[in-house]
Amino acid sequence: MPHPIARLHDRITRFGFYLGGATLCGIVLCFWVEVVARYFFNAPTLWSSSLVAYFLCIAVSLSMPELARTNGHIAITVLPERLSPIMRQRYDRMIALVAGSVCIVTAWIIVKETLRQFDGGTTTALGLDIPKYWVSSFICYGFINTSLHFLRHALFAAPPHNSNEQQEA
Amino acid sequence: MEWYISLGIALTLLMGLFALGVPIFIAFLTVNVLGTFWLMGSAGFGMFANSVYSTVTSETLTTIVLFVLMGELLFRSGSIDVIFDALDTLMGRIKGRLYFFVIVLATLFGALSGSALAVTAMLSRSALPTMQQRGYDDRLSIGLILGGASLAPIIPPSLLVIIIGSMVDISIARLLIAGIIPGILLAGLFVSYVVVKLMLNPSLAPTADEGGGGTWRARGKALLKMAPFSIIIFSVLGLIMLGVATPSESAATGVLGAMLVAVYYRRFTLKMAKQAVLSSLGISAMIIAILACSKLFSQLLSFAGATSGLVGLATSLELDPMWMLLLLMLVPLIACMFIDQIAFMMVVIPIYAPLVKLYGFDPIWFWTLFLINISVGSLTPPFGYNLFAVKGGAPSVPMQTIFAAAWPIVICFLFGMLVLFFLPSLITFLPSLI
Amino acid sequence: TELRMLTSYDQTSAYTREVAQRYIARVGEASQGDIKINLNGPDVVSPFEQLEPVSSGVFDLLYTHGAYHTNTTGVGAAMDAVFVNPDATHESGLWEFIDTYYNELGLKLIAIPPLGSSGFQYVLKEPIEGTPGLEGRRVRGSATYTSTTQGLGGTPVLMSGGDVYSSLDRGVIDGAAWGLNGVEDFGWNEVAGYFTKPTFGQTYTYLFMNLTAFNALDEAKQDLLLEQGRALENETAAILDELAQQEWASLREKGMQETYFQPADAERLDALVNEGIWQLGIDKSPEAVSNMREIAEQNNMTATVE
Ligand code: NA
Ligand code: NA
Repeated sequence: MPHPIARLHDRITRFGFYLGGATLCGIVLCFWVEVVARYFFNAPTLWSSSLVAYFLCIAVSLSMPELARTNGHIAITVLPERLSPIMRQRYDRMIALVAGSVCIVTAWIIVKETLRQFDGGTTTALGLDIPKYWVSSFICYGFINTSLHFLRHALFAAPPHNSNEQQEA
Repeated sequence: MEWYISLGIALTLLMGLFALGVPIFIAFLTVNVLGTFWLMGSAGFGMFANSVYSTVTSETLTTIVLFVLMGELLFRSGSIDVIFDALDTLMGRIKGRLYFFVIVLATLFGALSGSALAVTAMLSRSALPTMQQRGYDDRLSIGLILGGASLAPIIPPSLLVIIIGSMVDISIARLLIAGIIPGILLAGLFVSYVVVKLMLNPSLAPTADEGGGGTWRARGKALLKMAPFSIIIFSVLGLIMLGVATPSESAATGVLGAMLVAVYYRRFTLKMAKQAVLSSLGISAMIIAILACSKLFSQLLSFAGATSGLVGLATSLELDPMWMLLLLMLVPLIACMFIDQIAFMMVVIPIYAPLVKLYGFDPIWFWTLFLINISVGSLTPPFGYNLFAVKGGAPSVPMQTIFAAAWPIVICFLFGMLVLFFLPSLITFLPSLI
Repeated sequence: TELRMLTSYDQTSAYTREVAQRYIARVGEASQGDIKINLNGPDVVSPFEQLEPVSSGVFDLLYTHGAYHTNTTGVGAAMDAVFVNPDATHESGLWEFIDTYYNELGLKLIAIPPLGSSGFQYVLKEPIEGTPGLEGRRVRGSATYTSTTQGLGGTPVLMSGGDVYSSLDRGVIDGAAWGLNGVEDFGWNEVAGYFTKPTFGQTYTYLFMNLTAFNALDEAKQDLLLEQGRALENETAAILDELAQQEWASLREKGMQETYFQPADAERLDALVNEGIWQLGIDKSPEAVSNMREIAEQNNMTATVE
């Protein structure tokens, strides 16, 4: 049984992923509205393409940590597959440590830039302009939480290898 | 730092990280982080962050998400099964018939949507598992999906053609039309490849294929059963043709079509829809994460002068037109394995354009070959993005199998280009009519 | 001295060639090769994200349009509401105002080269009949054109530039607004039959330099860069006008025709577009653009809707 904090963390990640799913539905709806409004009512919206762009960012950013949690990011695993199971586990943890560290540096860079966008009052540059940090914050979340999952994987326990991985092994 | 040293270091590092089994997007990020600190220091942080931001807010990438969602809906609702069953009856006793069908599907959807990546992921998620269940060979099926989908930018409509056409002094309409025969020729090569493979090794076609066919009455029924499939075709292709939807919007109308088909087969449930949404989100987020992290890689190569250096070196050699052409074609083929296609085109086209005039190459012919090369780059191991899309759609297939699947298709492409090289009228005939 | 310039337009485009490259050549000549400028294009940084790496010093110089950085300020783009007259822009203090404003962002203004004495046109599938001239048409354009298109009875559509060709072809849209150079490059003549007259408005590009990098130069070099910028401002309008004339001639040869807005529309065009541009600017940067507008109005440098 994982630690309660780990469980809470997993739950937050999972919740984010569901939210991303809802956002994806939003993308589909925006496109439908735009087509109908433009073709049938001759009244194209000036917001749908911007909203689609923001939604895509939100959906992708919210999903990245879930992918890290469930081993969903792809890699070329020819080499690690040749290792013995024990070595494989150690090796995977080492890779996760590298991945977590790189994501932390990335998150740090993007957070710094997001704060600069906040201070400078930078907006987005699409039809429907909103403060840019509203959108960038999701990317920050994506990388911070992704790195947390990689680091958890590296420092604590074997990852929950998902079913696909097992099929492959 | 000379550009070739930067390029060498960057590529070695990237390949090393790939080989060690580091997640693909992390491999790109690692090189980017190091490259940013080395080339620009903290002043480059803005560029770093913006490269991720501009990729994940790019409307064109929604095509990937929506096409994968469409594939998910078709697969999970069992609509693909119904369609394949009907085809079994319709196509009679043709051995390995779904191989041929998947070429048509991949080519058709690729051509329409213009996104090889999206269609590759979609078919890997929908057609591939169904083919696996029916005993079709993984390698052959994957190769055909990759090949058919890669015709996306070659067969009109095509965003890449519009970009090339607007950067060089050439008619876009002609360049668009020029892609039709080469596209069909290449699809034909894939078909011949399947035929040859099946002749050499009949076991690649499932034994169940023996049971196809049926009475005319059964065939009529099967045709009727396939009718809803035309909803999908209409909701993507038809709406583009009628001017109702733009190509990017057509992916969303395609989702509606897939939902309607699922409803028609009485397979649509909210639970299924929810699973389809989450699963497609996972797959496309994985692909887009790679694209977001590789974008800066292309930018850094440009910044370090590697892209223009490479092209400049190739073009500075004084060669016979024949060898020059070969070299000019080799550069995009190799470069587009790891550089973003559009970013690469912005560097290379201005350098190539005067050479095309200088050497007297027919521009339509030259740029069509160029376009094909760029397309091949995106499915050539080990960097081609479309290979990762297969892995995303079908995680249970080992990466080695996907690589092995891609090579014969790459060879088909190269052979096709050889034919087009010796018979330029295959490219220039249709454009000469308008 | 070696400097790194970033341009928002690709290397084959008329603007990079006729403005950015011309400036580079001018500076090279005037400094007798002492100041060398290397050019990087949108493959290195996408146009909408270029202001930041120049203010932070990754690049020294930037050649861009104000519309590419409305995410940071509305000042640059608002210049498009001001008549083309470089002397007046300097004498009225407008140039200095903009310079001071961008200094706050870490940038030194080098030049505001106009892209011709007139700015915009519409490309239409069908000729204009009656007023308002765009009644019932779906017309693609950036935010700059929104109020003009609406003022002429049309419906503005926002879509990416790459989608325009096929959307015109398939009739998703009935027309597109654009500058006076580039319609032929994009091949829109193959999918639309008409371009509109009279042209309207005006548009400018900018040359900026990273402020720290500028201040690090000795005074002679600073003066040289500014003098060459000034000379460039006086030169570009005529060059791009000539290019526009050549393009129209070529478009006519390829079968495109002119179509005219009726007088009732034609006389409103400039005012419509200028008013729309001021409003966009004021929404983004209320105080600064209001100041600009005041300067422009006091010196009769803009026409707006009464
Ligand atoms: Na296509
Ligand atoms: Na052209």
